[in-house]
Amino acid sequence: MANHTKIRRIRSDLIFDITVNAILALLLLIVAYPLWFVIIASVSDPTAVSFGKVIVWPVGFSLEGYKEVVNYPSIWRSYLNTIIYTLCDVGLTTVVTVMAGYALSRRDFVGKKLFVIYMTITMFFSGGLIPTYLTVRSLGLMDKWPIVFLLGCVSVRNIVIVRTFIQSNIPESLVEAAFLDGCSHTKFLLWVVVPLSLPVISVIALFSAVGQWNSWFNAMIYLRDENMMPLQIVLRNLLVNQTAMMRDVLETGGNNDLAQAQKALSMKYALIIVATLPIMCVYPFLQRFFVKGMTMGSIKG
Amino acid sequence: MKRTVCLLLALILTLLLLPAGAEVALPISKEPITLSVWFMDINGDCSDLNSRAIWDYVEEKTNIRLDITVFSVTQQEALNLRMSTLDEALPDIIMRHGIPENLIYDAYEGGFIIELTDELLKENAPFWAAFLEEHPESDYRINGKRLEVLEINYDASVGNLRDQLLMNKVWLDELGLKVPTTTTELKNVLQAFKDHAGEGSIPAEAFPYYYQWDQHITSPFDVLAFWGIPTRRNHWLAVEDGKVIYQGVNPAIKEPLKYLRELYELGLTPAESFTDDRQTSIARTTSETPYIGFFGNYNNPNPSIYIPVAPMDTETGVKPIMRKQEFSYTTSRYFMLTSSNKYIAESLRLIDWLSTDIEALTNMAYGMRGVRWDYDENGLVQPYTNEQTEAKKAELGEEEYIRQGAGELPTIKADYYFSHYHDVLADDPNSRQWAYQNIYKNYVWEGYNYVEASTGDPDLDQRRKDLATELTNLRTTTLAGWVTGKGDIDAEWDAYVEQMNKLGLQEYLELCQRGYDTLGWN
Amino acid sequence: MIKNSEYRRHTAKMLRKITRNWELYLFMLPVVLLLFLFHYMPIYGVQIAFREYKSFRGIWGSQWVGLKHFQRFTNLNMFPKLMRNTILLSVYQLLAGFPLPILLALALNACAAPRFKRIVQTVTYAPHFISMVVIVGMLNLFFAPSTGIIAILLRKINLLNGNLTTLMSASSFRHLYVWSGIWSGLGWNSIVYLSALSGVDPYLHEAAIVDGATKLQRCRHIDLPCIAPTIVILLILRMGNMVDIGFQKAYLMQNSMNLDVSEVLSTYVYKQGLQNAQYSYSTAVNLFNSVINFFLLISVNAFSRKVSEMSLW
Repeated sequence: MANHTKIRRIRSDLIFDITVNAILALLLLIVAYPLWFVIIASVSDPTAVSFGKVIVWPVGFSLEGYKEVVNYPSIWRSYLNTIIYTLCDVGLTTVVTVMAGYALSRRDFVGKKLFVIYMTITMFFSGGLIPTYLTVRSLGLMDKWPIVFLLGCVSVRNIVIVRTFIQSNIPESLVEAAFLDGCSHTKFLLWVVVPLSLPVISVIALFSAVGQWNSWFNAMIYLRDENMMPLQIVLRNLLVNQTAMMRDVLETGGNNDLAQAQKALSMKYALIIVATLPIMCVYPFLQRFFVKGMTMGSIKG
Repeated sequence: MKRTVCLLLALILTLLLLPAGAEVALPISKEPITLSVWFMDINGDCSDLNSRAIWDYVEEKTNIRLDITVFSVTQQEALNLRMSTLDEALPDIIMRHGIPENLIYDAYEGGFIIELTDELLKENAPFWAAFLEEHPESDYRINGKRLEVLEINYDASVGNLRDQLLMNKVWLDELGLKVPTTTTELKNVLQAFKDHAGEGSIPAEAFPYYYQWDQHITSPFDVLAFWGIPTRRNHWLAVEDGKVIYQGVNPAIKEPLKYLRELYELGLTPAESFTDDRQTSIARTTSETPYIGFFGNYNNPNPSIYIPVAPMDTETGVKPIMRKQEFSYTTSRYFMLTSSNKYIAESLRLIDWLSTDIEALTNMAYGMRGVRWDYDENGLVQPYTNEQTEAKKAELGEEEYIRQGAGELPTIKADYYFSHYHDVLADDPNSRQWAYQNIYKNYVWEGYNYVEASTGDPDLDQRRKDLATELTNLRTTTLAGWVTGKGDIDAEWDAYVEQMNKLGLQEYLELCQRGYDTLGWN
Repeated sequence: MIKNSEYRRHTAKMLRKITRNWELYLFMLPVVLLLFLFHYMPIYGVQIAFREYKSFRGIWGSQWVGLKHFQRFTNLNMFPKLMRNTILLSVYQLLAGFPLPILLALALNACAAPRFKRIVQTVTYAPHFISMVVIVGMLNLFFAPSTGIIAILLRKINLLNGNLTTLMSASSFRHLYVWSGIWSGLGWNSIVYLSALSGVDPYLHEAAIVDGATKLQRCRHIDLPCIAPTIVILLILRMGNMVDIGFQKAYLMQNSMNLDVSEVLSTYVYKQGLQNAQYSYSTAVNLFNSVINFFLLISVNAFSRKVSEMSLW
C-alpha cells in the first residue's frame, strides 16, 4: 500500500518538476530576450535598430555610445556620490524599519493602532512639493546631501512587511521564553530577531538600495552644489543634452553634423547598462539570504 | 567764461549730432559692475556659457561683467520651484529660462519682475523701443504686459519657411525619373519607389513617403499646403482676413485627406507614420543609407541624397503654398529684468548697444570675429563657410572653438542689420538659404499665422485650454481613422463636424479670436 | 463601584505594559520624528487645492476658491470616460499582475535545480531596472507595423499579411500596457514572497512527505498558507494605489489611434497644463485621487479583518 502511494507521489512529483522547469524556462526566454536586445542595441548602429534589423546580433558594431558616456567629465564623481548615498540610505532605512516593524509586532504594545494610523495617513495625504520644499528650507537642510535619503527613508509599506514577517516567523513561545529569562527588548531584537529575519532585512536593504540608486528628483530640487549630484542626474543631463542637440540640428538649423545626431540614439541603451549594471549585481549576493528554512532550523527544540 | 561757453556749445553740438536710436555711448557703465544672471541651457550646447570669450569682449567695451549661472534642462522643475516660492533672491537678469508664463506673471504681480514699459525702453533702449512700436508682432507680452524682450530674426530663410520638401535624388536617378511637379506625378514616383524596392540602393523596407502624423515637423500638413490650406502647428488654427478659423472642420481638407488615404492604401506611406516617436523618426531621416523617398524637414540632413523640391501642383487651379513660420520673436533668447537689479538703465543700454553696434551684434549672435565670421572686402559681415569652419575647428580644437561661440542675449536682426550683412550661405546649393531663395520664396504663404495670446482673463484661458484638449482628441482620432482607411470621409464628415460643435468648437474659436485680437496685428 | 475598581485595575495593567515596554516607544521614535518633520509639517500645504496659489502671496495669503479646481476636471465632458479608462486599466493590472509574482515565487521555491533557479531569479528581476521610456521605445520598435521584429516573424510563418495593427488599435492598448508592466515587475515583485517563503518550517515539508504528499500538494497546503499573511497585507496595501495610473507610461504609449482608451485622468490633466506649474490644480487632482484610494484601503482593510483576522491595524 505504502509503495503504491510512494510511486504515485514520485510520478506526480516528476510531472510537477518538469512542468515547473518548463514554465520557468519559457519565462526565462521571454523575459531575457528584451534584455538581450538592450545589450546588443547599445553597440549597434541606431538606424539599423529603428528599422528592425537588430534581432539576435548587433548590426553595425560601434562603441560610440559607451565612449560618450564614459568620457563625460562628472560621471565618476557622481558614481561615487550615488554609492555613498545608497549605503547611507540602506543603513538608515534598515535600522529604522526593523525597529519600527519589531515594535509594531509586539502584542502588548499599547498605542500600536495609533502609530499605524499615524503612518498610514502619510501614505495618502501630503502637502505637496511647495510646502515640503519650504519646510526643508526652514529646517536648514537645503543643499545638504543627507536630505537626499532622509526624505524617503521611511516607507510604511516596508515597515508593514517587516512586521508581518516577524509576526509569522517568530513564535510566541520563543518570546515568552526570552522574557521569562529577563531579556530586554533591545537584546531580543539584536540577538534573536535580527538573525532570524535576515531574509526580510535583505529585502528591505534591496528595496532601499535600488530606490536610492535610481532616484534623482530630490537631489535635483534640494542640492545646488554640482559636486554632490548623483549618477542619475548626470546621466539624464547627458541624454537630454544629446537629444536636444539633435533636435536643434534638424529643427532650427544648427551647423552640427550627422555624426553628432547619431550619438544620442546609440547612447540611450548604453546609458541603461552603465547606470544599472552595478546595482543589478547586488541581488545575486543577497540571494543567499533567501534560502529555504533559514529561520526555522535553528530554533526548533 | 569763454571756456565754459565753448564747452557748452560743444556739448550741445554733440547732442544734436547724435540722432536718436543710434550708437550707444561706450563704456555703458562708468564703474565696473557685475550683474548676476540665470540661464537655462535648453538645447544642451551652452553649458560653458559663463566662460565664453564674448563676455570678456562685453566687459572690455562696456564695463559690465555678466556672471551667469547655467541650469541644465533637467533642472527645470527646480527652477520653476524657485520661481513659485520666491523666497530666495532672484538674479539681476534672467535670460532663457523655460519657466511657465503664469509663474512669471505672478512674480511680476508680486513686484519681483520689472515691466519693460514703453517709457522705460524709450529712455534707455530707444532702438528696441522704436522697433517694437513699428513691429507689434515681435512684441512678446504675457497677459498684455511686456516683461521680457526676445530675439528677433527677420532672416526669411531661417524664419519664414517652415519645412523644406526633400526628395531622394539617388533613387530618382537610378530609376530614370524626373522630379515630380504635380500630385499625380508624385504618386507615380512613389509607386515606382515601392515597385523597385529591393533593387539597387532602394532597400526592401523603404518608405516612399514618410511623415509624422499630426506633428508640425516632417508633417502631413505639407500635403494640405499643396491644396493651398495653411496650417502652422497641430492646433489646426489659422487666420483668414483677421478671423480665426479651424482647419479641422474646413471642408477643403477632404481632398488632401483622400489623397493621403490613397497613398496609405497603396502602401506608399508606412503605418509607422502614426506610431513612431520623435527619436525614431529622427533616426530614420538621418540615416546615412537612404530609407526614405520623400519627406519634409527643416534642414536637409543629407544633401548628397536629398534635394529640395517645390510643392506639388494639385491641378485643381489652387496655387500650392509652403507652410510658414511667423516673423515674430524667436523663442530662443530672452532678456528679463528683476527687482533685485540696481542697474536697470545700464542693463537696457547693454541690449540696445548689442543691436546697434554691428560687430557687437554679430559677436553676440554668432560668435567671435575671426573665429565664426569676418568682414569681407566690402565691409559686410560674412559668416564663415563650412570649409573655413572646419579649418578653424582643427586649428583651435573643439573646446576653444565652442568657447568662442555666441552669447545668448537677444538682438534685433532686421533691415538695419541685413544692410550690413552678406549671406554667403545662400550661394551654397546644399543650404536651406539657397533652397529658400531659389525654390520656396514664391510659395511661402503670405498671410498671418495664428499665434496664441492671452484673453486677459486667466479663467477663460484655462477654459480655452480645456476645450482644446477635448477637441484635439476627437479631431486627431477621426482624421487618423480616415487616412488609415476606416470609414468614409464624405459620409461621416457632417457627423464629425456636428460632434466637434457639440464639444464646444464655437466657444473655443471665440476665445481664440479674443486672444488674437488683443495682439492688434491686423 | 465594581466598574470603578475594574477601570482602575485596567489602567494599572495598561501602565504596567507601557513601562515594561518603554524600549518599544524608543524604537518608534525615529519613524515618528521623520514622518513628523517631512510629512506632517508640510501637510498644511494640502489647502493649496482649495486656494488660487500665487507665488508672491504664499500659501496662507492666496485666495480661497473652494472646490473650483475640483470642478475644473469633474465638469469635463470626458470625465466619466477618463475615470472609466483609469479604473479599468488599474483593475486589469491588479487581476493579472498581482497573482503572477506569487506563482513565480512558489515555482522558484519548488524548483529542484538550484543553479537554474538562481539564473531565472536574476534574469526575471533585471527588467525592473529598465526605465519606462526605454520600455515603451522597445514596445514601439518590436510591434512596429511593418518593420517590427514581431511583424517580420509573423509574416515569415504566414500568420500575417500586411501591417501589424497592434500599436494602432485601441483594443490592444490595455493588453500592451498591462503585460509590459508585468514583464518588468514580475521578478521584482516576487522577491518579497520568496523571502517570506524562506521562513517556512522545513520540518512541515518533511512530515508531509512522510504522509505521502506530492510536491504540488505541499505547495498548496504548506507554502501558500504560510505566506498568506504577506499576500493579504500586500493586497490591502495595493488597494491604496487603485486610482493611481501614473501619467508617464500612458502618455508615452498614446498615439492618435488609441486615444479613446489610453486617455486616463493623469494624462488628460497633464495636457491641460498640469506641468506648467499650476500647483493648485495639480494638488486638487492628487487630493481627489488620494481620497478615493484612502477609502478603498479602509474598506478593504475592514473587510479583511472581518473575514480573515489579518489587517493593517
